[in-house]
Amino acid sequence: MRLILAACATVAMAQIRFEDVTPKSRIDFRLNNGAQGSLYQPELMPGGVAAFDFDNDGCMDLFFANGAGLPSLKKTGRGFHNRLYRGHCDFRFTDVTARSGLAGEGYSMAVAAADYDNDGFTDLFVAGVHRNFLYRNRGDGTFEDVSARAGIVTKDTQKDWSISAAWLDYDRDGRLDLFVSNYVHWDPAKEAPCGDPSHRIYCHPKSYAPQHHRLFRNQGDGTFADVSRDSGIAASPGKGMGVCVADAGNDGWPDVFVANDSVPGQLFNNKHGRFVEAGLEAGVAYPDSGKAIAGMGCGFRDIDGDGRPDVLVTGMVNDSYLLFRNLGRDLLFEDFTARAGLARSTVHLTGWSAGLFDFDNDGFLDLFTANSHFPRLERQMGMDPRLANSVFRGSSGDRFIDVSAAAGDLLAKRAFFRGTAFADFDRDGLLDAVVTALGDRPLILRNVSASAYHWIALALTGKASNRQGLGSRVSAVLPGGTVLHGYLTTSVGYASSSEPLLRFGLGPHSRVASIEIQWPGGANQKLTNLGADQVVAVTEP
Amino acid sequence: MQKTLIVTAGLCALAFAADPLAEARRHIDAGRLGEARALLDELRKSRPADPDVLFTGLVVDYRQGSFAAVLAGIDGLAPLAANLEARILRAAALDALGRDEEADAELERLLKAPGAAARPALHLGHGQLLLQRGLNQQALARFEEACRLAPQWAEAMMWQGVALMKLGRTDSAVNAAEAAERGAPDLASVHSLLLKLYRLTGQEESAAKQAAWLRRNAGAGQ
Repeated sequence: MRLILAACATVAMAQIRFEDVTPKSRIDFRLNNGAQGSLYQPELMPGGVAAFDFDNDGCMDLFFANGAGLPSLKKTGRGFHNRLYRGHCDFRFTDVTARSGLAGEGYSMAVAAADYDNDGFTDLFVAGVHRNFLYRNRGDGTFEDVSARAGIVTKDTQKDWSISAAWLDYDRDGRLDLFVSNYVHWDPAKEAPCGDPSHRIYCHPKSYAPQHHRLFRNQGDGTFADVSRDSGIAASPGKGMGVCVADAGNDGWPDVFVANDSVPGQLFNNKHGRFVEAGLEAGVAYPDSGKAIAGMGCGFRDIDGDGRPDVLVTGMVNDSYLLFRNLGRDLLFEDFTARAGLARSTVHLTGWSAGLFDFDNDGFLDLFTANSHFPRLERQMGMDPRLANSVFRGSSGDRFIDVSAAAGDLLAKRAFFRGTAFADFDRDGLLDAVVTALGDRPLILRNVSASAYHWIALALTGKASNRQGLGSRVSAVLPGGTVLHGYLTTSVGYASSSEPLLRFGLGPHSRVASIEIQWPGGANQKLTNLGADQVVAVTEP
Repeated sequence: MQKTLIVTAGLCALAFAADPLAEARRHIDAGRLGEARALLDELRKSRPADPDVLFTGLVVDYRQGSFAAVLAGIDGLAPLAANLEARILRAAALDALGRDEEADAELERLLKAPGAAARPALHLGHGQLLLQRGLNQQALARFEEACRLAPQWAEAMMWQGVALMKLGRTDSAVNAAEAAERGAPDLASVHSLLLKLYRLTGQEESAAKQAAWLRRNAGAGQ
C-alpha cells in the first residue's frame, strides 16, 4: 500500500514536462570534442551553450562552443566551428555563424554572455584550452575579436585551461568584470596513459596540477586588467569547473562559488573588492562525509525562500549532488543534501550542468541536471555511460523530488550531456532548456508543463549599474505576504550562460504586491501592484 | 552523504586482520580504484576462489557505481552469500538502486544473524544508509552502537559526530569529533567535521586551526 500511495503522489505532483523539439529547431550543430582514441583530457569537458539575444529582437538566440583537433587545438574544419543561431521565438533557429564572425579558433569550452561595454548589445567571452576569446558585439549582427586589445589574452594566460566563466561587477563600479574558472595544467605532449593497457581510460584529475582562476577588472575603456593576484583570487588554485555568482552574505558584494573536480569546492568571499577563499570556513568545501567530490556544475540560488542563496553542486556517481543551505550567519552553510532528498536520488548519477529555476511556476525552485557518466567507463560501470537528464521538482522549499520519469521527453534521449542554457524561447512564460552533448546534436527541450500558475520576469536596464543590472538582488512580495528572492546572473551550471532576466513563478497569484530591486550600484527601487504573466522592463532610477 | 562510506566501513573492519589484500584496500580507501583493480586482477590469478579477493573486487565495482554487478556477484558466489561485509555491500547496492524495502529487509536480517549484532561495521554501514535518508535519530543509534562495540574506531566516532550535528546536539558532536581526532589525527574528514562544528559553536580560533590543517594537508595541490 505504501508503494502505491507514493506512486500516486508522485504522478499528482509531476507537472513539469518537456517536449523534444530538436528536429523542428533546424539546429544542425554537433559538439565535436576531437576525440580520435588518444584520450586527451580536454575531450571530456566541452561544451558550453549560451542563450542570449544578440540582435535585440526580443527572441533568444543560441551560441554553442565547440572543440578542435587534438593535440593541435586547432579548428581544422567547419565541424569544429563554434556556432551562432538566430532565434525566431518559435523554436526555429537560423545559422548565422558565418556572418557573425563567431566561428572561432582554438579548442573552445565555455561561453559567458553579457554586455560588458554597456552599449546595449550582448557580448561573448569564449573560454578554451590555452586560449580564450572576447568577442564584442558590434550591434549589426557581427562580432569583433577584441581579446588581445582588451587584455584578456596575455603571455600569462597562454597555458590556462579555462572551463567556465561568469560576468560580475565585483568592485561595484558599474562595469562588468570577468571571473574565469581554470582547471589544470595540461600538456598534450605529457599526457600519460591511464587504465588497463587493454582498455585505456581518461586519467583522473589527480594526474594534473591545479591552476588558479583569473579575475579581469573592466577598466571602462574597452580594456581589462588581470587582477587575479591583487584581488586574492590567484592565492587559491583549484581544479575549476562550473562557476556561480551570488551575494552569499547579503552585504551587496557578489561572491563566487567554484565547483572543483575532486578537490574541495571554493567560495570566494568578496570583501569590498578583495576576495578571500572561504569554502572550508563556510562549510561548502566538503559534504559532511569530509570527502571532496568531483564537482562539475553549480547553482547559487535561494532554494528555501529565506533570502539567502544556497549552493548546489553536481558530482560523479557515488558523490550525490550536494546541496548546502545558507544558515545566514557568518557566511556559514550546512550540508542539506540528505534532508533535501538528493543524497539517494542522485547517488547513481554523474551530473554536469545544472539549473535551479521554477519550471512549473509554483513558487519553488526546481532542479534540472544534465547527466552522463564518463566515456570509456562501460567496462567499469557495467552499463552504458550515457545517461538521460533529470528534473527534480522543488517542494515546499526544502525538498526535491525526482519527477524525471513523468517529465515527457526528458528521458527519451541518453547521451554524454554537458552544458545547459535556460531561456523562455517561445515567450510562453515557461522556462525551456538547451542541453549540449558530446559527439551529438544538442537537445532542445520545450517546457510544456501543464501549469495554471502565473509568473513574472524583470528585464533590467542599469544606469549607474551595469547596463543589464547583473548582480541586482530582487524581492517579490506576493499578495499573501510570501516573499520570493532572486539574484540576476547569466552564469549557470557548467560552462554555460542563460537569459539575463529575473524570473519568478507566482503560483496562483495573478498579481505581485510589490517588487524591490537593490541595484549593484547601490540604488533601491520599489514597484507596486504588478500584473502577472509579463516581462516588465525596469530602468534603474 | 556518500554511499561509498558504507564500503569503507566494511574495509576498516576487515583490515584488522593482516592480509595481502591490504594494499588493494588502501588504494580503494584513497580512491585509487584503477590501481586496486589491477592488484586484484593479479591476485585472482593465484587465488580465484578467495572470498576476500572476490569481495574486494565487488567493493571496487560498488565504488564505480556498478550496483547491479555487485548484486550479481554476491548472489552468484556461495562463499560471499554468508559473508557479513558482503551482505552489507548487497544492502547498500539495493539501496543505491532505489530498492529501499529490500535493503531494509536485508539489514534487518543481518542484525538478527548470529554474532552480527556484535559487528561494528554493520552498525556503521546501517547508520550511513539511514543518514542518507535523513533518518538522523535512527542513524545516531547505529553509530553509538558501533562506537560501543569498537571504542577506538575513529571513523565511527566521526559519524556519531555527524549525526549529532544534524540533530542539533552540537556540544555532544564536538566531543565525538574531538575523540575521533585523538584516535585518528590525520583523518581529513574528522578535521572537516571539527571545522564545521567549531564554526557552528562560535569557536572561531579553533575553526581557523582546522581550516589551516585542511589547507596544508588536503588542499587542491595535495
